[in-house]
Amino acid sequence: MRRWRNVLLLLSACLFLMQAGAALALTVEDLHGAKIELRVNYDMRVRRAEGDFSTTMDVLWRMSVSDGKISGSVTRTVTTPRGPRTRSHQMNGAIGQPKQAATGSGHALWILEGDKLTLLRTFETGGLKAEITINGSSCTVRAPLVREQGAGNTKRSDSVVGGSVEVLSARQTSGSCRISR
Amino acid sequence: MKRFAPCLTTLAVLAFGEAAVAQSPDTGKSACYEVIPPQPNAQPRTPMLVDRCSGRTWLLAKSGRSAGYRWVRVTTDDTPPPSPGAAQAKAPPSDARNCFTFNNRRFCE
Repeated sequence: MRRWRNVLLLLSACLFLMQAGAALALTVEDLHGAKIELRVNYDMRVRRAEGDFSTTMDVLWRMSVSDGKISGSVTRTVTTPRGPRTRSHQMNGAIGQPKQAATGSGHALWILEGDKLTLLRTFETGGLKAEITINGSSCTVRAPLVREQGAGNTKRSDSVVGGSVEVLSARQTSGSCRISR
Repeated sequence: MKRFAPCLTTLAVLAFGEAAVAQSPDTGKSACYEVIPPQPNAQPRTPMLVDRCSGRTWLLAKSGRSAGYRWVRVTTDDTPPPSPGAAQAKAPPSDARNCFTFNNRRFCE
């Protein structure tokens, strides 16, 4: 009797999942051949050796996915009193495999779970969590900087203008995502 | 159809139980899974899917972005010991407080 109750329960769950296409778990195969472009803007307050500054940062990720591997580039542009400054670097990784970050210190890990492809990136202190929610041919991005518990402000050694930077506050002001094949 | 395979396999195992397992040794992995219905005096009041072979557990939860449901993995606070030179990560990345643990470091939004 208990078994048939379980069967009915699971059958209901399966039907729910089949109806909710958007909520189905993405697979590596689903993403094979996908090109993803993300642009995220932040309002920030940062501290450098010269003092504290308000700034904005624009981060552009361009990447492609093939056989569970992600490769592409990251371009960061910040406003400074002397005009905008830009820094780019190449990135690559494999879904589910943590690795040393391409720049600065810290590690990076891509996770595919549910309808989200998520990048966890740690810095010298603190990190970033970029959540890409994918629904067929559309996507959204949310990429807050995350604080490290017991470690104070977020710090990274590979600032856009060179040297280290401490992030006093950061707020995502916009985010756009495009996915194509 | 492939994405429903675990669901359907579990369904088949639950439906045909020992007979199915006995007939095919390949179904050993599927036999690991068990759906536990909500218990009247326990939280949360949602079905659980348990992989008894690995200990992984999922809760059936309503998706925030659509009218659908999905299995959400239950995480624990214990982190595996670090292996030299390798980064350790725990999936999924977030818990109820939007925190995650990576390389034995804990981060929160």
